[in-house]
This record gives sequence, structure tokens and C-alpha cells, in this order.
Amino acid sequence: MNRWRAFRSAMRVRRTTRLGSDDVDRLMAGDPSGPGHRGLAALLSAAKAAPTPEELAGERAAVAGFRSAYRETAPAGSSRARRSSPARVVTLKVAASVAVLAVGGTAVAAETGRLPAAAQRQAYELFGDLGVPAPRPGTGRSGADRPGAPTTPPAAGSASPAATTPSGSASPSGAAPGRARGLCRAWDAQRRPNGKAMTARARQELITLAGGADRIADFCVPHMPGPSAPPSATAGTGHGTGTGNDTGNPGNGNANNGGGNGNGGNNGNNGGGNGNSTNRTGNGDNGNGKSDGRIGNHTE
Amino acid sequence: MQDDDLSAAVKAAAGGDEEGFAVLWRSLNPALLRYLRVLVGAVAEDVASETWLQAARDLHGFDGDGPAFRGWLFRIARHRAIDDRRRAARRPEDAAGTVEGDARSARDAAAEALERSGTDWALGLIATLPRDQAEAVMLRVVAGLDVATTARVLGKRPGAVRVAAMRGLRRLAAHPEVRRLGEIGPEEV
Repeated sequence: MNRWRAFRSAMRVRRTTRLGSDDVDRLMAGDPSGPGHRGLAALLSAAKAAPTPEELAGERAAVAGFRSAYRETAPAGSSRARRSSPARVVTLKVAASVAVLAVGGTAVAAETGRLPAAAQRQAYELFGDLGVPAPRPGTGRSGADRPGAPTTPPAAGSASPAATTPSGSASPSGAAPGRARGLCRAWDAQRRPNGKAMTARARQELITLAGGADRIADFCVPHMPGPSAPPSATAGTGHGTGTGNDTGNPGNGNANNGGGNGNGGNNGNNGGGNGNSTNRTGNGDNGNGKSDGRIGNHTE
Repeated sequence: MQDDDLSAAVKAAAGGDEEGFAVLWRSLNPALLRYLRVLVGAVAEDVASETWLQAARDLHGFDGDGPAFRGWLFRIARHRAIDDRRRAARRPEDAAGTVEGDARSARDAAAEALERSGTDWALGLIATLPRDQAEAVMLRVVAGLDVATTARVLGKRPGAVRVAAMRGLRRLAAHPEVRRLGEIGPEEV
């Protein structure tokens, strides 16, 4: 009798080890397979058994974490759907102010040597609502001139009000543009369904470069390849750069997705104009001439 | 959960909706925890929390559907787990960690004694497999990812995933406890 049991058991073992790919597919799908794989089927169904209360105990903490993490990093307005319409309005206003400042401002600054923030605000109030066309997505990235380069003429990188896009943009990273580009690509890639996740270190480095987790999207805009701009930058991207020189010219305005930054890119003694459509402060990525004439501030 | 429901929840959560996120959490956290238990054992809950936090931070840029989110989440989890293992390896002398580990394992042991579930047993057995096989089995069977998604999570080719899953299952099937289970039948587990 014992010998018979041992024989049966041995047979079972042999059958069990002959697991074919069809069996695997059936087992994966949760179908009961032949009697030879009963043990394995039981193991797998135990592995994917219904959730225990312990596994569902942390929901409130998780949602609280989501609330703060999402607020911390989401573009202003927190909902893309709700944001799209005001963002467009803001983009128009920012484009208008940039254009006015780049042309009018440069002319004034060239003569007087300084451009008061009040004048910029006035210019914006005059022309901000004229309906200058919104910048096209992905434009204005080709400019290679850096803000503050003393050799560049004041008019370089400026946009006339008639132009649909303010042109010419500066590399936003002061230190290592190549590194920034790599980090931004990695950051962009991980947001795609099949992209690779960033390492914590790379992420931290990018946060440091960008000046905060919530600034990554803005920071990375110039580093993205044109057609595959990040999802959060779909509402329209435009950079306008007024290159600074010793006489102190307005800096660049950067309107992207309603989250425009303004850079005071001058190395003179006055702050450049900028448009900022979120309630964040305008950040001067280049560390010089951080602008104080914040106009076009969008409130929702 | 149906993929359509999951997709709707992903869309809501990506727009900042907390209930959408809660739905995602409820439907995916159990499988996530089990996958991580096989990968990092006692610190699975911590790594799962980190995973959800990173997912929450990056959700607003996510525009895939439910199945894509599932793969994305498990890929984040895998990277967090790898980070955790690296950290643990760098600090072998970490005294605080040892104490904490002791407390944790004692608690786990108590919990196991109280309710020694078939799930714990199954996960424990899967965790004895070579890592690539254990991961392939967990992602395919427990997380319910298809071969292509599993391959992307693991950074392998689909063929390699199939082979790893097959080898893992064969090895499990040959395990004495599983064989004994096959004799007595699953209804007695």
C-alpha cells in the first residue's frame, strides 16, 4: 500500500514538472489546469487571494499624501481641464507684454539707460488686451544667445508686436545645459506610460537645478524635443528674450502653459520686465537681474 | 477591477481628484504590497508608501490609460525597491535598522502566528525563487500585467519574461510543499 502511494506520488511529481507553456498560460489566467498542477494552481490562487484588511488599511494616509504631493507639483490650478481656458488668456497677455517690452522697452532703455518697472506695467496695461496672437507650441527654442551676453545688440531676440511668436530663447540652466537636458529628458520619459522611472538622485538633482519640484515643468520646457513636449506644456509655449547689456534692458518673458516665468536677463542695474501667469514669483534662472517688475500676474 | 473603471480613475486622479486616486489605491495597493513583499520583505509597506507618493507627484503629467498606469506604478515600485536594497547594502552596520528590523520581524511573526494565511505561505515560497523568476511570476500572476507590460517593467524582452515565468512556475511546482498540496487538493488549504 505504501509502495503504491509512493508510486502515485512519483508519477504526480513527473507530471507536475512537465509544465508546458499552455499550462503556464492557463495558470496565469487563473484557470484550473490538469490534476498534475493542482498544487501550483492552489499556490497561485493563494498568492492573488482577495485583499486583506491590512492591505487596505492605509488609504486615508495615502490620499492625504496624494493631496499634498499633487498640490506641491501640479501646475497651478491643479486641474488641466479647468486651467486650459484662463491659461490661453494669460498666454496672450504675456505674449503681448513681452512684445511690448522687447521693442518699446529696448528703445526706451537704449536712450535712458534704464527701464522702470512702472513703465512696463503701463505698457502692459495699454497693450495687454490687444489680442496679440498666442505663441505656437514649441517655438522660440532655437535661439542660442544667452541673456546678459554683453556683446549681443539690445534688439537681438526681441519680437515685434506683429509677430505671432516672440523669438529667441536662452538656455535656462546656468551650469550644465547638457546635464539639464539629460535630466529633463529622463523626467519627461518617466511620465509616459512606458517610460523608465528616474532614480531618486537624478530627480533630486533636477529639483535642485530647477529650483523646486514645482518648477521642473517650466524649467524643462526648453530642453524638450519639439513635438513631444511634456503633457503639461500643451497650452502653448513661447519665449521672448530681450538680451541685456550694460545699459540695462528688459529680460526675457517666458510663457508656457500659463505658467510663464520671467527672467530679468540684464546685467545692468534695473530689473527686466516679465510676465508671470501663475502666482509664483518670477524666477531668474540665471541668477542675475532677477526681475522685480512682475506684471501680467494671473489670478484665478 | 475592470480596465475601463481603472482608466476613468486614472484620468480623474491625474486631474487632481482624490476619490480617483483612492480608487487606484484600493484596487492596486494589495497587489503592489505583495509584489514588494517578495522583493524587499519586511519594508514592503514603506516602499509602497514611497511608490504611491512618487506616483502622486508625477500623476498630473500622466496621460495613459488604466493598464498603462498599472505598469507605470509597478515600475516605480521596482525602482523604489532597488533603491531601498542599495541603501540597505550601503549601511550594513546600521544599528538602528537592526533594532527596527528585529521589532518588525517579531511583529510579523506574531501576525503570522495569528493568521497564517495561504497568501503569506504562497508569497514566502515565491520569494525563494531566483529574483527574475519571482518578479516575473508576481507581475504576471498577482499584478495581472501582460507579458509586454511585464517586460517593460523589468527592462527585459518579452521572450525573457516568458522564460523566467515558466521556470519560476516549474520550480514552484516541484517544491515539496506544493507537491503535497497537489495531493491533498486545494480545497483543503
